[in-house]
Amino acid sequence: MKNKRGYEFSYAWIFAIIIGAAIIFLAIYTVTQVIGLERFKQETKTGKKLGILLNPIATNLEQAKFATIIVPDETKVFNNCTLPSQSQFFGSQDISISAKQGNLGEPWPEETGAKVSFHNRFLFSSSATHANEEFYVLSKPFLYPFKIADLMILWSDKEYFCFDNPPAEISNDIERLDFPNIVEKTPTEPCPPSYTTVCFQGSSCSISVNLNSKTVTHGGSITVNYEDSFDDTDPYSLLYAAIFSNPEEYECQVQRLVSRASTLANLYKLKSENLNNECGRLSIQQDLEVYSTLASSSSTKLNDLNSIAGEIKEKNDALTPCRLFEKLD
Amino acid sequence: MTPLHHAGFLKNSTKAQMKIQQMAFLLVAITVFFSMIFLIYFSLSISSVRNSGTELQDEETKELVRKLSASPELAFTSSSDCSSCIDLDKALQISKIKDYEKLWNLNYLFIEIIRPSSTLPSDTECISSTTYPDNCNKITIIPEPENYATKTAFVTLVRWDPDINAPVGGYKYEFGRIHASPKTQDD
Repeated sequence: MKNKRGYEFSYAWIFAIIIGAAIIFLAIYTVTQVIGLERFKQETKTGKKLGILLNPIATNLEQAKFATIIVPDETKVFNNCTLPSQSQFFGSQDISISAKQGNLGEPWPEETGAKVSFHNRFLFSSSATHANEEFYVLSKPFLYPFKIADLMILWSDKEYFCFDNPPAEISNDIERLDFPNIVEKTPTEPCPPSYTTVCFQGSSCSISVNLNSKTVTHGGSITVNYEDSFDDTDPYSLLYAAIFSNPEEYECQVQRLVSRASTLANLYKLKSENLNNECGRLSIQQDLEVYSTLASSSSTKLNDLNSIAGEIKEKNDALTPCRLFEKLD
Repeated sequence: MTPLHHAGFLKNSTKAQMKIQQMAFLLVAITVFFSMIFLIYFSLSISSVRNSGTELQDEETKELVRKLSASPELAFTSSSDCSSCIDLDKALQISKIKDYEKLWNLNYLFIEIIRPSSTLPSDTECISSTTYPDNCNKITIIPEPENYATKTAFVTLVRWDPDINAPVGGYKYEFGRIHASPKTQDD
């Protein structure tokens, strides 16, 4: 009879292999989960920090402030806006972050950190702003006719813009604040081909601005409206927002601005009532009431407030020396 | 089966049972060991998340307090001579508008008017048409019944005073402090 020699697996061996495999599987699974959790934690923290960093960039009486935010890894900022509602009268600015850690050609992580919400911020950018190292933030106040908020315009070191024939105020900003990645087309230097062109005359660009009809058209198809800020020397804060922003997010942020304008008008009305018509402030109260009521309706657009805002500005300018808010010209 | 064979079978069976018991014990020990590692890791991780959350909230409050005077709700915008002043006349009215409780991520916010020569007890609340402006030293914007540790920043307070340059009136500048407490994770 042929001797059938073989190794007999004992029960102990089979048990050890099965349990060993299960332990190795569990260990790998746990490590993956822990890494994912740590990444989520880090991205959430970065989102919150970014929101906190926007605080010192807010303007006091300045016409503009510019800041560079440096990030350690390649980062995407997802900008979402939540419309005002009964429970959240000011709506919210939601920021979430996704960072690519390491440089091993791994695909971009699909998940982002937790959404961090701020009710007093207005961030205008594309829906996902992707940076290698630097984010740029331009902060400009928006007055309608009183200051409603600081508009924070965000772009990154991966986004390049070429402004073709901008108005003098924007041209001055580009020159004085020396924005990175934004150039102005000159007769001798045309726009580089990889740049997003922003035309202020004509419509054959990626973004076309019509200063007469106060519209900004993205990609030749989606048009949004903007309004001039009530600051004669620097009226284009909302125009910047309309240029740099994703049209959907822009519309949502403008609606949030209208809501905030409503409560601010109410606040100025209460202030003027408390001051007992000193300096003839009574004349402005009725207009503030109309403005506040109109702006509190969700169907009201910003340009619906234009005429009443103009009247309030005129009456406020006439209140010398005790204006409710400053006369800017 | 002979009695001798039967005894051998019993001996093997006891050995096998012992092995099974050993392995079962080992399994339980491994499970308990890894569970303990997980528990320690998660408790450390959760406490680190809580600490980070609290630190970030504190940082946000500090930055917010420093820049609250730039907020349109509090900023003194009636004149351009003070860029970081707080308009007391506006601050007094904010508490009447409930929506403002949700604008800042705070659960307590008040302005203290510092009047060293005043004999008023501290925390005398300003109420329009009664104690405001001279017989009070505190304007509560976001009320919080319990005592909370607050972050503070010194500010200049401005209000309209009809007695200055009478009969025209003028702005009166005072010294003050803004106090704010962040929303905790439980709020």
